[in-house]
Amino acid sequence: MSRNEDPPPPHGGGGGEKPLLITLIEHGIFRYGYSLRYIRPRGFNTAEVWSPDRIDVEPGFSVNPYTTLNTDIDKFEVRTPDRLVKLGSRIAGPYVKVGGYDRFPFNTRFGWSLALRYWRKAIPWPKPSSYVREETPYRLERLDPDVLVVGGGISGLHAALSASQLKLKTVVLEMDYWIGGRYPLVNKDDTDGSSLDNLAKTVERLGAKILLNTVFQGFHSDYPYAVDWRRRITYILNPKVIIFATGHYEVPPLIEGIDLPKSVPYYTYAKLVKRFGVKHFKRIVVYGRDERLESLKSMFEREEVEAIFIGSDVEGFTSYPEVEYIKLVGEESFEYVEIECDGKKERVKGDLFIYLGDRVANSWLTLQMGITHLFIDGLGGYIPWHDIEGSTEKENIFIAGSLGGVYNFNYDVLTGLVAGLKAGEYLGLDVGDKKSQFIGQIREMLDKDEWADKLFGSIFRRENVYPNKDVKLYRDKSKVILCSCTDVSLEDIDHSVEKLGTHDIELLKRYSGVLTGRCQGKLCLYNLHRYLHNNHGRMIRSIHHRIRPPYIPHEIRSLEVENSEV
Amino acid sequence: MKYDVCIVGGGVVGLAIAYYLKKFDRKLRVGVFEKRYFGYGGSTRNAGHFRVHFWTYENSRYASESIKLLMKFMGETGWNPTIMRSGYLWLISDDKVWKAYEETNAKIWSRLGNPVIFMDLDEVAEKYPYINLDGFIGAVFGPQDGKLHHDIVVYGYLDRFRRMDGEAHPYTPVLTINVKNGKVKGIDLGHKTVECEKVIVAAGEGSRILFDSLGIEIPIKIKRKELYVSEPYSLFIDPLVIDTREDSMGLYITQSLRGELMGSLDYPEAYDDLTHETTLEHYIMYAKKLVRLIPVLKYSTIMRCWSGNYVTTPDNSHIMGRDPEWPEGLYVATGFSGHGFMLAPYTGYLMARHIVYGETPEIMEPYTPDRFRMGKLISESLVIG
Repeated sequence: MSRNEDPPPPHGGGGGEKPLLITLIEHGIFRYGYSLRYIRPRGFNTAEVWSPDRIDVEPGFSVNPYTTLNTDIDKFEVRTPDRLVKLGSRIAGPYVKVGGYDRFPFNTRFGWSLALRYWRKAIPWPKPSSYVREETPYRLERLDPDVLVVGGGISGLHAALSASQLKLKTVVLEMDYWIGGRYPLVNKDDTDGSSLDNLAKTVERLGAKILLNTVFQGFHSDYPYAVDWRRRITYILNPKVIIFATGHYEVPPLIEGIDLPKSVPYYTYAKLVKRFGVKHFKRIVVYGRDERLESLKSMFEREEVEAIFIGSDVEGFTSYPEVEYIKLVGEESFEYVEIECDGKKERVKGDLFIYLGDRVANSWLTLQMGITHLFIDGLGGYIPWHDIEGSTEKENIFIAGSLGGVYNFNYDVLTGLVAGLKAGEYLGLDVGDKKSQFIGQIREMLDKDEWADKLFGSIFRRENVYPNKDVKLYRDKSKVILCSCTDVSLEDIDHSVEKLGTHDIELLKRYSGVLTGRCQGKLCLYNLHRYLHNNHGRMIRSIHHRIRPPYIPHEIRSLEVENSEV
Repeated sequence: MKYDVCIVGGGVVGLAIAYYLKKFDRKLRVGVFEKRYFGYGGSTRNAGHFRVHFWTYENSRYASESIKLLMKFMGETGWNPTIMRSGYLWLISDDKVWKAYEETNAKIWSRLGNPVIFMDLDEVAEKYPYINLDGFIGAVFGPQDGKLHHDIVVYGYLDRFRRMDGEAHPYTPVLTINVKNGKVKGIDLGHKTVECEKVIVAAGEGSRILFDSLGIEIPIKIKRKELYVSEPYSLFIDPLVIDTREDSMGLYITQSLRGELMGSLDYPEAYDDLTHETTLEHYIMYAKKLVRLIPVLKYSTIMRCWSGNYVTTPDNSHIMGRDPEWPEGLYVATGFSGHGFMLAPYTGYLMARHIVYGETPEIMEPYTPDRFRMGKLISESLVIG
């Protein structure tokens, strides 16, 4: 793994100390997707369960993605909240969300004055840190590559390979500290990373730059930019061609209590095990059914973990294949699930809950560009329209990779290679007949795989694929948190729809606060659209609200730079 | 479709007018036409603050009347706009500016019952320890000013208007206004026409396009403001803090009731651009100026960048009512220069009275559109927030 950078400390696991990641999971600051930089605190409703006052990084650091990583982690400690904070959260907590104050008794003069009194104490967020450390300041750098590849996964690296073989100046931006993206996480055979490593070495030998820890933050009208939070560089980008190979991430299923601490998506666990070798959890409850189960099964077998599978049937483990109702229960974090199957109620205990969430295509950057996106259920929500060669409506933007939902690494490799060649073609180079060869292979592959053919076929033909009626696994809508950044439940959505008399996402968003939290809708947009479609008969045609930079929140000092005239 | 009054623009001004029209005369048939969703323009793209302190007597008085109506909003509609009187804080670095504030306070603000508080540096440092006070001589605090959740006001007016059988049409752009023999006949929606006797243009950014189609010149300019929203923090910046130093380019920073820090500055002046884009150049400038003013915020994280538009007039004051030279039945309420939100309730009230009862109160007179023709400008220069 020489190519990858050191993971953030402490990453050990083997020793006596608990890894940071586990502390975070235990306190419900788990991550979406699979990157540690996506840590988020939980929403307002659960302020008394989790409050940043309980997790404090001394001296005075707040828990936020950047500082957590760049802090002396030894000083990370768990504290009990102030009594007044607890009281304030209890009184005003559930109503701090926007639409909440519109309900009785807060829409009365007395109720509102009472709430205002507790407001200050009720808001559970930390203050910005006042502690100034000795540190390297950020500097600005300009990158003018011929080809910019966003995403250093299997398909992004192949795009970079074929582009740099054409002697194009290529830069790969990878936001994690390792290359390969999800390839090592879902690959059952568990590579030691040598094939990826060799690939990266080849790409670099050909003159391409691979920038790890660098987040493409999005498009402003003058320049797009990216932030390298470890080397402290802010890049102003001016590429001739952009290839998006951004892959996908997981969103939580709609289950009661899914927002409890110690319930994590598959990728979080896979990364924990494959990267850090953590053997911390012994009895694990797994919900969901797809091909990722096989990889999970081999992990459990190797680590001798006792696992219970819900909603699927896995050989050698306890399973409940058919369930009608699931609910996560626990005082401060997940303790057991209540399930109902064949009319019987059961309690299944465990010390970690893993869900195989819906895989949602990571289209947050292409959505910013105002090009057509289609809703393809099964392939991960909003997909930029493109043809089999990866060309989009904009002539210098290409899409590579299989997005969400379809696992076929050959497809990733081939589309990556084609995207690199297309970039060369756009820049006026002779690419020979390699391109048609690769496209022939992609066609062949799609012909064989009916499922993938159907989904990709709909993109190529510009057809939306609407979700089927949902299997409802919940009963109490107020307990199903849809937007965990601002704690909006399904009941809140129903309330907003009723109150506003419309399904317009723009209005729902502003009124209820859904899509306006830290993740800016990355976790909830897909579920929200599905919910409105299935329960309110709202057709999903196009994305309604505007996606804005930055891609993930970044510190203001990354722009407070001295050499701003670059 | 046939209405007595058509309102073009479903922002807070248009909806406030619609609400008061229905309130004063339930039988009046009122239709609101919005090009996008309700509150698309400045009504939802603002920092959600209100103030009663303006440089001119007319505006200060108008605003304080408007805030009185805003305070009654919850009782009237049942929607809670979460009003909090947290104040405005102007940080002053220049003796001349300080004197100007003192004079205006004596001449206008105290007279209207809204005196400001002058604070020396020690007081400011004690109360707002996070501000870097290098280069300042003191601060002016307006305790009557505050913040609220702006979207609730828009939706509250909309809800009440609809409950009084008002018809509001989202995603219905108005292409032009039909005029015949010097009289308004209706509006043109492209696929059909709507008959009406009176049209009120409250279309904010789009108002000029509509007037251009009638061949009427209206002196409004669109000025873009880019705003940066941080992740939520616990409340610590109470007032809206304004840096009045010249090289700070009108920087302001505030914290919403949800804990998000929001701030903006005047740069660059992107005129007549309706795209709501943001620029990296502006972003970097903001980061520098902000960290200079409040160094603590160096480690705060920005979550979202967006931009909205000020619809400005030559005298930074709004235009309402009608010009006698215009076709009969044509009214306007636009050009609020960044204060549309706070002035909307009273504008709705006055416009509705003007139309239903034919009154033109003395407080409304200075704002009529013919003032540009007659050269009677209001000189407003305090245009922040």
